[in-house]
Amino acid sequence: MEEEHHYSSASEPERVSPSISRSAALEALKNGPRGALVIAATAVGLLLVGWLLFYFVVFLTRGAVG
Amino acid sequence: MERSRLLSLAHLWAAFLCFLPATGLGLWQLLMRSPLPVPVDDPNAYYASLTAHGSIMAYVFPTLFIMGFGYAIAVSALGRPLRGENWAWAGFVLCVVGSLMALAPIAGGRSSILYTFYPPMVGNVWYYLGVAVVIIGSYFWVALMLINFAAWKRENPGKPVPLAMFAITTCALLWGWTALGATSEVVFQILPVSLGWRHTIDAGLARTLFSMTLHAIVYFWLIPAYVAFYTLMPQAAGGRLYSDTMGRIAFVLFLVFSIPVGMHHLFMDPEHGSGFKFVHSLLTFIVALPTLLTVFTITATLEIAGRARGGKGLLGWIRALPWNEPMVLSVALALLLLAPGGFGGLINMSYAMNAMIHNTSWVTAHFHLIFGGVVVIMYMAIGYELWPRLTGRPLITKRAACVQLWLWFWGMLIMTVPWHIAGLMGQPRRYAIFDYTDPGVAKMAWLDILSVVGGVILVCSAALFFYVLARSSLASAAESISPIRYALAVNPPARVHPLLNGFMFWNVLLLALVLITYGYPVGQFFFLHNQDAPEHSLTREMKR
Amino acid sequence: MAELLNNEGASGLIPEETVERTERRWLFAMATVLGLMLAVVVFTGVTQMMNPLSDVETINPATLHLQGEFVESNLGTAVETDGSITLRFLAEQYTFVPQCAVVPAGTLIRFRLTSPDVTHGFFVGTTNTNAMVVPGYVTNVMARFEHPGTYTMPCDEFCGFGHHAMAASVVVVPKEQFTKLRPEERITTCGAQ
Repeated sequence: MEEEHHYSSASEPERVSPSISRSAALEALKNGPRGALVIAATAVGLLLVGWLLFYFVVFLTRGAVG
Repeated sequence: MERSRLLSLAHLWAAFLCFLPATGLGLWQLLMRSPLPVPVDDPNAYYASLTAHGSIMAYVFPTLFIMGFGYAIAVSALGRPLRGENWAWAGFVLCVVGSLMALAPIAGGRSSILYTFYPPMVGNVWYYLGVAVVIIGSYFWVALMLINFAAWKRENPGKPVPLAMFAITTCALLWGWTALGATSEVVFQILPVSLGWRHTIDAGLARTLFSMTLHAIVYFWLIPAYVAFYTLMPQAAGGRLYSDTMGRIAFVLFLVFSIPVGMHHLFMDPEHGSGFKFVHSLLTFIVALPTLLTVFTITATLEIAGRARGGKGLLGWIRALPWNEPMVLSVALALLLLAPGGFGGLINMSYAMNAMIHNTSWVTAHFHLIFGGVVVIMYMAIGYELWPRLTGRPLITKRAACVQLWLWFWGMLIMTVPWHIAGLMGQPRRYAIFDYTDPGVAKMAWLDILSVVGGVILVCSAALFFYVLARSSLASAAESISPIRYALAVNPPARVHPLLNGFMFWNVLLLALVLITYGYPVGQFFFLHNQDAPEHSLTREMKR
Repeated sequence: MAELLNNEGASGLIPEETVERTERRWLFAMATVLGLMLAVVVFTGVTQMMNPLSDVETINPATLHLQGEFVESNLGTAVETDGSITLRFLAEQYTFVPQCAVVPAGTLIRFRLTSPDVTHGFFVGTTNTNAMVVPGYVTNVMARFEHPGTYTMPCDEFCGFGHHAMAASVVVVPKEQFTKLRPEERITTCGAQ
């Protein structure tokens, strides 16, 4: 495994977990994290839609506040 | 095996040893408030149980766990013995002694004031002293985290502080600042009354000081879970962390924005105006950002691992992940729980919309889901990860660990989803018993029964968790247990911007924000008149 | 050695910048989503007066039984000169006083509550009328109930061992029916509804 900057992970190189090589990671990312974007965007999108539904359909119809 | 392993192990054992009975109390409470039959059918006992459950789950269990985890990180990430280990042990002893001091009067039914202990209701003086001692013990940890952090930086000038240590130090600093709120309330307002030196108390000021702790404490609990997300999961999944920098930014945002949002717990209170309530709501929207950042970064990290393991297509990498690894499974389950949990939080923080659910079962559902769910499931995974390294014995089974995590996930959903619904239907919280003969209440009976089912699953899961760790501790020692090791980022930085490697600037910003958002709200109490309320001693009430 | 410092990846792009760009775009998207929610909150706050309670008013909890606005004879439903309603309750362990009040539908109602003892809370049925009652302070909440009916008003903050038994009723009647009631009937007819 190529030696890399390890301090951001751990002070001693032996404390850095052996994992995939950097080129393997970049290969996995060659199209960007598309899957993550889709999942995260969908989740946040659903949260937004849900929040708007709650706000206008449930909350506002229950009457005045304060 | 790790240095200072006994120190960390003691903390984690103590944490889990009080966690298990606290879950049992929770199940009993669920039964009490449901239409089902229950042993010891006594509402007074319910409120005592609720106080114990809340105090353990909020003040004892997470604090001890986080302290133990923090020490383990300090020695393993920084690669040197812990400075001040004797002080660390002293802090541990204080936490244990304080917990016992606080729990004794609760067990005797003499301090059923709930973990939020809103004055002018006043419980037993030993409860408050106990909580104060626990906090003092935790401050030993805060100091040691900062000392070890600073010492390493001095010895390694210009180098990036390992992310795990940077994050847990952020956590310690946050706790150090935020605990001052509740501590001020206890020291300056409640203890004088509890000791008989004063007889009135400004309930509005007390609630406001408490609110300075009440929100940030959940980020104190959350950050260690995120530490596992960023620094322990990537390698367990077989990949790398998508971005080290974004991790640091997320932790810094938590440090700065966790405290000046506390008044979102006071939206429906009469002692503040809507102007400052809005300011706190606005800042709460901002503190949602680091979680939203984390969700993306961590999902991307999982994707790297999945694709590296051969997953193809837009989502095919999901199946390729090692789902038999507790650390990977727990992160996925945590993210799944974070969706509804975070959703509930977005509702709660949206200013006037808080009126829809304030002090209903929705609130109870929210914090059980987000803390009991997202955070505690990660604590369990961290427990599994640390155990072999602290005991020198391998985990007897990963399979049972994964089953346990699945049980916790489903149990938490089954318990909390009905609570959310009941809250929207108008079920108030903190009720020992409901009158199910009332037709309005009867409509919620099935929901309360469902929550009991969830609770049973959770208790079984907690017992299994305890069993796996206990049995593993008794296994024969293994020679080749790898030490705690931390994840590598895709682009590990050789140098990190000083703002993402230290806290001086963020402390100043944090203090400025607290002054801006709490200065007037707290200061006003010293200029108002007539609002002091006579103390209301709960112990006196019992003798009536 | 050059490899250590060279951040270039297989595709030729400088990956850390790519990662940062992606993260920044995500951050911007998230800020936009949150900003949209905030805009809705601000808009309805301003245009529909959807704000949490705001007037800070103190009151001495020890003397409020003896004199002033919250003496028992002044509690319950009061009709103001402009036709609006002021509804005063005391929240105390473990009852609201009065236990029941009649109010007209479709009318602005000003709830005013305080407590002589500990912190309580209240909400009315499944409406947005929901607030804390803190001793030393007067809680002012505005409400308007469009639909007649009997609404349970439980205490929603732990106030001691009898917390679960503490609830009042708000009976909303059509406006015409309300105007025919004599003042004392606004409480005495309450239980019969």
